[in-house]
Amino acid sequence: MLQTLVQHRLEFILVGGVAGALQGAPIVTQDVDIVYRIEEANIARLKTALTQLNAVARGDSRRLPFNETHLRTTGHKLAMTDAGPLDVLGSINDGLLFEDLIDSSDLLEVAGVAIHVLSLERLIELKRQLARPKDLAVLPVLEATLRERLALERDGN
Amino acid sequence: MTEASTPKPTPANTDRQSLETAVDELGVDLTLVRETLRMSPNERLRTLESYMNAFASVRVIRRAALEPK
Repeated sequence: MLQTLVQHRLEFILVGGVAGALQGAPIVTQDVDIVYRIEEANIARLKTALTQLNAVARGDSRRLPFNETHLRTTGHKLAMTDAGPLDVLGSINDGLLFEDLIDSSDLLEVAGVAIHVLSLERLIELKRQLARPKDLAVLPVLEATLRERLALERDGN
Repeated sequence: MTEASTPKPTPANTDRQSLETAVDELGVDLTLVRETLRMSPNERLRTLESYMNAFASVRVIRRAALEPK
């Protein structure tokens, strides 16, 4: 799935559980969350990538694909794709856009492609702000991971 | 009698002790955290994908179970 998004040169940041896992937290998630840049050329690339992944609205028996009008909104588009669930987010946490998050991301090389992944520090901050039970549940693991990582960096490992 | 029932330290039970899980004050398994931090991003992705594939298999089984017979 990530390779398909990168192949289409989509500008996006991985956020949520997958970001936490790639940053080193031993957490498990069922879906991939991305925040994409809301800009005409990027929306066209996203539409093509979603078509290739056979993405349809999750939980809707009509199996409707997302059109460009949907993708121009800052809302959450919850998709089911051939490669599993994908949350296509125009914004997170009360209106934070791609542009607000890109400087808090790390470029990681995974599966042969370079992907912007939200930093552990910012992920923790956003989950604290959201404070939904599911966010609070994962916070201790994310915070322990950050503490351990800082300790490793201090020790020069 | 007491002496006989108290195991003396041996390499076997010393190893067992060293394998005990380190847990922080909130119950987070630090052994698992340290193991994951030692992995490369690729290895972390592969681990996560194996869990996600397992979830996908469960979804297939659930859908089949919920379909009218």
